[in-house]
Amino acid sequence: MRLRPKLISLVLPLVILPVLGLGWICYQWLADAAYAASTREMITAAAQLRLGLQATVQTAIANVELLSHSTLVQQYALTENERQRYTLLQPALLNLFANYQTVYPDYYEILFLLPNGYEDTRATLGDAPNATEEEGDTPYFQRLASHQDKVDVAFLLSPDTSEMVMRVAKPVWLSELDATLTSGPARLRGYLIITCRLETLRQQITSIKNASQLGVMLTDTQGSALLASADSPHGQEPVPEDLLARLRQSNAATPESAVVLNYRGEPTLLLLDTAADKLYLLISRPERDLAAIRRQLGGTVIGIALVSGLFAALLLLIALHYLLVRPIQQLRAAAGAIGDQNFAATPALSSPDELGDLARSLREMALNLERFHQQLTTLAYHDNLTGLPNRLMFKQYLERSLAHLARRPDHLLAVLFIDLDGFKQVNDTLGHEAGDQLLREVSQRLNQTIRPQDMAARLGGDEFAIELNDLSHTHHADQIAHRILSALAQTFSIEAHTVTISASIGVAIAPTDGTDAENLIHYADLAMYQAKQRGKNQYRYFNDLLNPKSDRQSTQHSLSPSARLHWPIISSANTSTD
Amino acid sequence: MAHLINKCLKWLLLAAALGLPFGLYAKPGELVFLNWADNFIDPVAITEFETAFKIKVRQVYFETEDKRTDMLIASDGKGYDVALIGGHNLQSYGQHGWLAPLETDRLPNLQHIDPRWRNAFPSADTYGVPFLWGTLGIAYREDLLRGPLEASWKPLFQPPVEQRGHVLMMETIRYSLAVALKALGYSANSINPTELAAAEQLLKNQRPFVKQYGALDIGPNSEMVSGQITMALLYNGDALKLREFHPHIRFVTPREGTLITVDYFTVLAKSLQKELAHAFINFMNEPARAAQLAKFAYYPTANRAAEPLLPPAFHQDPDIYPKPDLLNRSEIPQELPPRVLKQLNQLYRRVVGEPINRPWGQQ
Repeated sequence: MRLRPKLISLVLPLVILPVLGLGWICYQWLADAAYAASTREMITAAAQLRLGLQATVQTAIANVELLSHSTLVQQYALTENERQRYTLLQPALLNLFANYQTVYPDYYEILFLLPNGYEDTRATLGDAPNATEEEGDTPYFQRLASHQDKVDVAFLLSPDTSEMVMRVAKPVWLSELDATLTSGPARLRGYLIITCRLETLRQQITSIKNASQLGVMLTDTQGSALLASADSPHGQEPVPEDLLARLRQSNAATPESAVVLNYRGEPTLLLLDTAADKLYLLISRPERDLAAIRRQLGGTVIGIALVSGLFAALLLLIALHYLLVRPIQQLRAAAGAIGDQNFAATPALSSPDELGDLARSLREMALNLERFHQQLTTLAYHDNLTGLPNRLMFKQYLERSLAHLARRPDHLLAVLFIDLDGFKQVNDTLGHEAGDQLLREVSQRLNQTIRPQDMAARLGGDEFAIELNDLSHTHHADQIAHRILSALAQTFSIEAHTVTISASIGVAIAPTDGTDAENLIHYADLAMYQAKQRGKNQYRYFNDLLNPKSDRQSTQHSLSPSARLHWPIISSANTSTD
Repeated sequence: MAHLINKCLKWLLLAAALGLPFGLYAKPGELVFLNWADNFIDPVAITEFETAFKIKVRQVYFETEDKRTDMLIASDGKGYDVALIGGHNLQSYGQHGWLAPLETDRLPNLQHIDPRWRNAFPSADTYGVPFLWGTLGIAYREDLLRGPLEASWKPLFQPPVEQRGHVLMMETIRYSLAVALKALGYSANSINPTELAAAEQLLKNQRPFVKQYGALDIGPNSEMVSGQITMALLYNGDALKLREFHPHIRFVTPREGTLITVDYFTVLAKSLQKELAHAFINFMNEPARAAQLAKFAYYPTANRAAEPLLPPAFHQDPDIYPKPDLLNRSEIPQELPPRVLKQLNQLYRRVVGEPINRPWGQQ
């Protein structure tokens, strides 16, 4: 397995698992908080509605009291004659009621009922229909009549509009002043009733429903839906009585706490609040709403954990790549390059860490290797004595040049085979030391004579070879061969002796004479041998050996006729040899 | 709206906290006369009475019959000595204990009064001395309506479109309803539910044209003089009086017939100066003075002795004295069953739609 996948499989779990763990803790904590917040929200909503309802009730009670104490209402109540009531007092009474209705538009109906339940005066806002004028037999009036002495607050479906309304009724008890200005016993004169639409409460319920998605229902002890948030399909269904009983039990045990019970076919968070006497506010929120919140929360937490985990892992991987993987790859590539004898390819690492140290060590090792390799190459390919390339290297070099030449058809290549004339005598006369020195001097002269693109090599003993490159014509080879013969004809100073030698040169031309390195060397050797036989101190073309008729060069190949002597000539201050 | 609520609140607080805050009690040496507003009684006659009896007459005015009732409710009938009461109210006012039965021996001029008016309404002879009678008709601005109106109720109930919001109807529902019934060809005193419903519909259809259910100011500052109101249901005398302030005001008594109203002088039951009150009523019924009062107010008088003293032009004015056949088609408001009265109160509310603040506020 590579380093990168290894790192990934190690780093990803290391980063993501703790983040997920943290996320799980957050999720639990937030989910609990959401549940608590929901309960709090329900308690607040219930309190808000309860206070709103109580304010409405209190205001209506205050108004009915205020109205019942107005002189007009009292005069009206005391006037028993219908004609007088209706001609004189009722227009003013209706006007008074209408003024109340202007201030309190929810008081859509203000009534004055006679003790027998006859609807004597009715002021309505708009064209509210009237089911009956004889209220005496309605259950509402029966109830009212049964407790005659105090203000009665009732929540009921209006018989006129079958809408949930609140009715506040005040029995009007008055005694008449008689002639002696002493008041007689008080008698019940009628009931003053304000019927109030619960529009404010309905709006509150709607706004709570809209803002908090809470179901709200105003219900009585029987569980009937007096007022309910509208848009639920079960909106007007009554609350099952056993559920109501359980809620009241749990309320008695722990007030202001929501419980989860099965309601309308699903587990629901429920809160029951006593809004008024025998009137309850049921606040509900289906548990699936909370589950939805939790799901959403969970999704968010997992998402955040994954994204942050991946991001962290990515950052870590990038960091590892730049700090570790890439330097290692560079080091590996450098090691590979060094293996391929590319000793300069050391990584550009300068970091002050362990990898930097490793890179520096590698660089040092490469330098050492390079030095060692050069020494080895020198040993293998160079002549120890003269420093010239040896036969092996010459041959390899020649092969490369020939391959190169194949792609350049207008160029020629020449191989010169040089053998010194009279070297044996020098060796025998002046000793091996002097011979060696002569060979070194010859090597130097050869190197100085040839062009930069040519190569001189020592094949062994007193045999040298020269490869001439980039010749456009054979007479270029002539010139160089001439220069070599001239250079070697100069005297050498060997151990205080003046030595004069000459050389025989054989020339083979590629591709005219062939393109095989071994053959070319052999042909040049043959041509040199011919030069030797022809009298030394001259050069011969291998080509001329094959065409003896054109032996035109036999004299021209030599330096000069005067130079045709028996070489070497060795002279010294005290010794002269012939 | 806020302004309206404020006003109503003030009204409610006042009514609730103070009971009904009217302290119009007669001071010694002062006679309090509850009178129609605006130029009904010739001030000369009042001054003459003050001089003759060396007493100050304080006049308290009401604009409509309903407002007069409200004022008496507010004071529980106290604080007034003499009042002008419409005939159809006499019985309920009397039964409610606001009116004192007449002491006829204190009213020698009662002999001049036309007996047909004395008995025109239940209890009328017990409580009231007939004063002036009148008829309802349409007062209008000829210039603004571009031409004379046909003698019918039709233009009042179906005015031209541009008269939207320029019509005035009477606050007293009996009167507004009566002319609606007459316009439909029914009796002004109909209690037939179908006819009442038709009349209610007629009033509702007319409602967008009606600026107000109220009373017209009879003086130079009247809305009909300024032209804000171009048509009004009005008493004939008031209309003719109003003509003094603008040359283009005209009056028409519709041919379908109309409602005849009669005002009665009454003595208040809670008056502490009943003798003086009777003297005041008697003083006003001296034939010459009665004739002067009728001439001043442009109403026919109930005083037979005064009639010959009026100029022939007055007698011949068909706006003051409608032709006999037209009078035959007209009716006086009759006593209606109480529960019908209750229905009319509801009907008025339904037609008017919004509360009009009274008796203290003015819209």
